[in-house]
Order: sequence, then structure tokens, then C-alpha cells
Amino acid sequence: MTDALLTLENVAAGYGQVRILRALSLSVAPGAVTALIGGNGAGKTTVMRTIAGAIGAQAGRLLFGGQDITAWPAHRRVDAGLVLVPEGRLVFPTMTVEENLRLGAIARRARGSARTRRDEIYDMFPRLRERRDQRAGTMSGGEQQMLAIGRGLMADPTMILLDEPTLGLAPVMANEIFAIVRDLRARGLTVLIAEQDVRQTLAVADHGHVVENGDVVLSGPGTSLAADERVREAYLGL
Amino acid sequence: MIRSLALPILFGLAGLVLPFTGSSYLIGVGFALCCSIALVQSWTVLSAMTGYVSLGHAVFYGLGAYVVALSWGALPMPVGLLLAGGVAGVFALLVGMPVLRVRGPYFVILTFGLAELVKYLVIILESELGSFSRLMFGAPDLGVLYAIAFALAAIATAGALLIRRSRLGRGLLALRENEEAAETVGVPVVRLKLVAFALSAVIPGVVGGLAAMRTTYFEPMQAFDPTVSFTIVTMAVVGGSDDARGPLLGAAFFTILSEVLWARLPQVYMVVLGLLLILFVLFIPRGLAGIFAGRPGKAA
Repeated sequence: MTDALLTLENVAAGYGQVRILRALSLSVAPGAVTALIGGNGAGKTTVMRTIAGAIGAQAGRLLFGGQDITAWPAHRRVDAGLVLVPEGRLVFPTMTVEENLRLGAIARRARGSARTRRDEIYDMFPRLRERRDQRAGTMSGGEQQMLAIGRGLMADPTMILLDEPTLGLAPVMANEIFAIVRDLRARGLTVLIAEQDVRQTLAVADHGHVVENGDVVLSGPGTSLAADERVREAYLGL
Repeated sequence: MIRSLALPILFGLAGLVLPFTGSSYLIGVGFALCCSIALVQSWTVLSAMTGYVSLGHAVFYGLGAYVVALSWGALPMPVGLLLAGGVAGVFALLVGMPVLRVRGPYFVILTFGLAELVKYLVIILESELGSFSRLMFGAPDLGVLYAIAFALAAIATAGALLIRRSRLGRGLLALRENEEAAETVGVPVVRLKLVAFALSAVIPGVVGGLAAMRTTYFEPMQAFDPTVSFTIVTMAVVGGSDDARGPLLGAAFFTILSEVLWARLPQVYMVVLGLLLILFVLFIPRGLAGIFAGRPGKAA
């Protein structure tokens, strides 16, 4: 896949002495939804954080839009259009919804059109507009997740990384999040989503990678992964 | 906006009028007040805006005093003062990289320990150089010192106000709320912390140099006295550090308190200090400025 937007080549990463990823390779096609699926502790979040630059790669390299970003700090990757919506949402709790969104546009690439984009995000998430002056920490989990996604979109990304966006959400709210993922794709964004809800994720994903023990063990189109014996057995309980 | 500027302007006007009283007692008190304001405002740039609470700002104050004492007679006074600020800022940049890697109570203890370490290094250095305290002859008179201190207080207050409204300030507040989230929206976290640390060190360095001129001697135990660090934190807690008004109120409150008590009941002063600190932390966490803003409730 030479035309991939993001490529990881034999990436090793972890925390201190603990290596989570040994030599992981994967690629993400532009304009599509790519899913990382796998159980707890498989290394999905480590992959996401390594791509975003929250932790550094100890070996291997990362290419984004043809550039080697392996050594780039996180803020530079945001400036290049690569934005993470972290696991656990991590909104700024004592700030209002509006202030959270404004901070989302602090990156250089996002400054010019911040106001227009904020209005677009309020159109996408009317609930955020209703609560624009509410402190982010006092909202429900689903609302905070919407805010975290909205804040990520404020940076004007070309590729957005969603790490466990439905974690701890009620099923109705999780459905809404998957509808948002479809919407993002329709808007031309490249999406990489790490999820435990394998069934719904593979239903929206164009392409999927199964991660186990810090490595990609299986890759393929979303529909064929959903039909794969091993996936059905291990993750869908069929 | 108008409300938050009213108090700084009031303080500024009072400070401009003060020298015309001609009272060296009042000007002396004014000097101490201006120094405190400059110290606390600088401290808030790091500690209030990023949540990295420094209990070691005496190190910058002491280094500034040392630089001025060493350069006394060799360099013109203004150059010595600028050098004092420069050395404090560069020192912050150098130690900031390792020190700012730890958060919360670890950072508090580390800054305190660092200040003590530097104090004893200077003491060793001074005894190697065969000098136990340095006298500074021909220091400028109080009026000049007051003018410089007033300028520093004004610069520190204006700086704190401007930084809060700037992109730098928004980035700092974001990393105070959640460092990891700040990183994901593209805040250059490491760089901003370092910039804030250095900015919060420069003016305390100059103030330290100025204080050495006021006492006309330099002695490490006094210049690096941890009480300087404690006083800064206490003033910030009692005054409040959510905006630029808090340090003004906190510094004024303690300057007046120490004038009233220190002269009459010196042994009671530290007791009152301790009691106030406890009361404010427990019941008025937003400080005096919070009361003025009509929101004395707990900080969220």
C-alpha cells in the first residue's frame, strides 16, 4: 500500500522497561475508516498513543502523508493534521464546553478558521451548543465523548484517531458515536478507531486490523474480518 | 475586564503618589510591598497557571542577590540587576528540563530541595573564597530602589495579566487541567512549561538583587532563606491566584500585617501567619480576590 496516509513499520513502543509493541506494522488508507480491534491489554491504546506522539517509538518508523514523523513531538503531529481523541475522553473538566472547543484550535493549522469550524461542530452536535456554557466535567459520559471528538475536530485534522470512544457509554449513546464515525468518513476524514465493540466497529470500518499481544495478527476488509472464523470465535462469541 | 483592572490601577496610582509623602518609613514599606507583588505575580505565572507549585522560588531570589553582590563595583548597577534576572532565568531553563518532569507533591519537594542545595553550594563556594558575607558600599538610596521595585511590580502585574490573555496562557491553563489532553490538542507541553518556569524566575532574580542593595550586604543563609519561598506561597494562597488581583491583595495584606505585628509582637507574627494559612486553605481557597469577586466558594 504505497498510497497509505499513515504507515507504521516495525514500530516498538512501551512504557519504561515494559515493551508493549515489539515490531508492529500497519497502514491506514486515506478517506476510509480503519479499525483496530482486540481485547483488553492487546496494545491498541499504545498504538494510538504512539501514532499521536504521546509516547515515543523505540524502534521502527512512522510515516504520515509521505513524511517520516517518528521523531516529531505530539504538537507537531497535530499541526500536520494528525489528531488523537484520547481514551477516557480527557476533556478539560473545569472549563466550559466553549472553552474546550476553543482550546482544540490552539494548534497553528487550526487558528484561522476556528470560529467557522466551531459553528460546524455545534451543528454536528446540537447538544454541545445547548451546553456551551456548562462545565465539561459536569456532563454525561456520552456528552463528554462528543465534546472530545468536537475538540479534536477543532484542530482541523486530516486524520482523526478515536481511542475507545464508546467505552462506558450506554448502548444508545454508543450507537450515536458510530453514527458520528460514519459522518466523519462522509466528510472526507480518515478515521482510525480502536474499539472493543467488535461487531459495530467492523460494520462501519472499511478495513480492520486485529491486535493481539502488541502485534497485528490479522488484517482485512471490515466485512471479511467480521466473517472470519477466528474473529467470530474470539470477539463475537459465535 | 474593567473590574479586573481597577485594583491594579489603584495600586499603581498609590505607588506613584507614595514618594511624594517624603516619609522614608512609608517608602520603605512601599519598597517591601512592591518586591512582594513582583515575587508573587511572577510565581503565579508558573504555579497558578500550570499547577506546578514551586516551594523553591528563594533560589532565584538568592541567585539574583549573589550575582549583584559578586558584580558589585565591577559592573554598573543596572547591568548587575539585569544580569541577576538573566542568571535566574537561565538557571530555570537549565534545571527546568529535569525538574518539570515530576508533578504534584514531588515537584513541590524537588523545588524546595533544589533551593536548599543551591544555598549550601553557595555557602561552600563563599567559604572557599574566604568570604562569609559581602558588604556592598555605596548602594543607591531608598528612593531609587523604590522606583525600581515599583517598576518591577508593575511589569510583573502587567505581564501576568497579558500572559493570562495570550495563547501561552491558554496553553498553560490547558496543561494545568490535563497535561495529556493538552498534548493531544497540540499544546507544546514541554516547551510551555519551560517558558513559564523561566519567565517566573527572571523578576524574582532582579528582586533578590534589589533586596541585597537595600540591606547593603549579601549573606547566603539570608538570601536563600526558605522563608522567602514560604511567604510567596502564603501570599498567593491568602490573596488568591486566579487572576492578577490576588497577588496584589495577598502582598498588601501581609506587608501591613507584618508592619503591625512585627514591630509590636514579633513572636506572634509566625503564629498568625500559620493560622491564616490554615483558615484560608480550609475556608477561602480562592483567597481575598475570590471574596472580592463574590465567589468565595471552593475552587472547583
